Amino acid sequence: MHSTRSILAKILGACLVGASVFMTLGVSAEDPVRVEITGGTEQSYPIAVTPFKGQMLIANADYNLAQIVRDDLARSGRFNPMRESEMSAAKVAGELDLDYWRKVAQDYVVIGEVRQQAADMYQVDMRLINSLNHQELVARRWNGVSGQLLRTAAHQMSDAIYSAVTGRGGAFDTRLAYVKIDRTPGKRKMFVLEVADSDGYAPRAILRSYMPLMSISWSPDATRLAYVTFENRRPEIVVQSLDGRSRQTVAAFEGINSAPVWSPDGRSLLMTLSKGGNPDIYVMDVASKRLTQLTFDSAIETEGTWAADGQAIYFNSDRRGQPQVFKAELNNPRDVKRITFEGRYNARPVASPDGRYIAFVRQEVGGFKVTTQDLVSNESKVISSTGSDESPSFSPNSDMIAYSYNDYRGGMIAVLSRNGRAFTKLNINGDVRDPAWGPLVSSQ
Amino acid sequence: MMNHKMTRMLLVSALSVLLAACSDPPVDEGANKPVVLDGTGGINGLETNGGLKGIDLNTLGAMAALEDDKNYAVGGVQPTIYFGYDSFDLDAKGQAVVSHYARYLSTKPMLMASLEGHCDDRGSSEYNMALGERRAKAVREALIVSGIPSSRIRVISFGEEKPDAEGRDESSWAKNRRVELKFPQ
Repeated sequence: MHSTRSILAKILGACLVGASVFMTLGVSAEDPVRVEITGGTEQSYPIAVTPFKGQMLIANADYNLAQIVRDDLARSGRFNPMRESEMSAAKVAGELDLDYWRKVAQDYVVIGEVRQQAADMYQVDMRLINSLNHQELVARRWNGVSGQLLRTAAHQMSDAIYSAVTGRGGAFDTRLAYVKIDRTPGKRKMFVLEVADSDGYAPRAILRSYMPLMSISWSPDATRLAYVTFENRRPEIVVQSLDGRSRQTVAAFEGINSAPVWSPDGRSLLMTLSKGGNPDIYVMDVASKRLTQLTFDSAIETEGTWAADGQAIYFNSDRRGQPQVFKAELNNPRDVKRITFEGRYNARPVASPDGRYIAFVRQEVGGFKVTTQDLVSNESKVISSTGSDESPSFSPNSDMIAYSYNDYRGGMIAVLSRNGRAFTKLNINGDVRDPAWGPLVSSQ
Repeated sequence: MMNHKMTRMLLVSALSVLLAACSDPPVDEGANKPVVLDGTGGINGLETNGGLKGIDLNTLGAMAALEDDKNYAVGGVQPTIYFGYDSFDLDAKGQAVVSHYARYLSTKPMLMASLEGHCDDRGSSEYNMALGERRAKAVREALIVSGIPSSRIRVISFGEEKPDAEGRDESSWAKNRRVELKFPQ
């Protein structure tokens, strides 16, 4: 069993190593266990997630637990999981040989075992061991897992590993909501609101409509979605519970009703309304439907998003001729501060939940690119290599960004690590866009 | 259990709305009403609707493109005004279309005009929603200048959500940056 003390010792050790690297290379520290080398590659943790013993008891190839964990960790950009094909078959099959894994430069090793408890019922054990000091960092059992929940159990394993190694919370056992456009030939185009796991698996439909849907926002308790629907031939804002039991139009004023974003406390919704003559940002108290106007310029003001503390908003305004990101404090909204200065078009801002970054879409020579800006140093960095990017959305731990882009096949959803190191196109069938990353849900 | 019952009730009520819609051609609001599905059930909302998948509206015969207001050309002039990238300025061609339909509207004092603003899909979709409204409002201003009272003009924006051409090239984008002039009942 691992102790809190050993984790602390590990984090402390990593801090010391990290700090010395920062001093040597003269780069800024972002968080204690992170080593970032300016302009170059970033160290990522080498980890061998060995095939789980008893995996063959699970017939469905989509439920390869070790592979799900490897894919999760790789998506974060902070791990470099060893490929299963590169692992020694003898070492995988035999007793755990930590010295071997240390010699092949795998600082961390994951071993696991699946047992069948009943028809479609499994017990899964997972252990994470540091091969350098032989400390066991995680030892956990998932009991009575149905086949359908095996992927969820694997995501929870990834979260436990992520947290033990990086010292930051994981965000793999979370959901993405997005819009899928069903273009079945010979049938009328249909818009489907779907929710899938954070890796794009297990999609389920929440709503189907012949008219466009867009701009999804999760309530912080993950029970409701706000979105824009054109079902009445104009953009209106609807709040719907995930279980489908309640659905309410909250904004259907003259003109545009769009860009709803739930506040961190779940009590209010930011939204863009043009009922006053041109698009401005308002905040609506969800219970009373009372509106307070937050922007007043005659330019386009839209795409409001909450600062992590819920005390300020970032938004897009073209008051200087082109879209740029601005910030306004809630208690003094007329005091507006410009945030983006590089690039002529910076739109659709979103703040990271840890308060450190904003992400937005910047027009570059190569198209529209997901870009991050460090709110402490104010440095901005284009992190995507696709060129029609829209709708960036942070994972709850701030370490990944989901967004959508287009290629010749249609709309795609991808996950970028916030450091830009890892890009993963999610395996979701169909023409999809507008992802919104849901909050952490306390499980079990 | 409760969950499934509720889902079934919702689906049944949605079905009856749809069936009513089908027997009531040619235009019915109901056909555009979305169908709400239960997305949860089980731990963490993980199970997939207890095997229920949403009903396929297409099989119910709700096939016609019911969502559109009437869009017809008068005197051989297409009632669409096109715009440059990220622009809401009317060019001479657009101005000519507006003048033509201002004359038509002045001969039909009971006719309402609906202006639908659209964008190409580059850039952010919410900003494009606002840009689509700006384009529609630019056309409204031109109609007002031509003597059509603002009370007869309705402005809406679809942003980049209803492209006319689906391609990802300049000729498709140019077709999508538009305001469509329609005449609702």
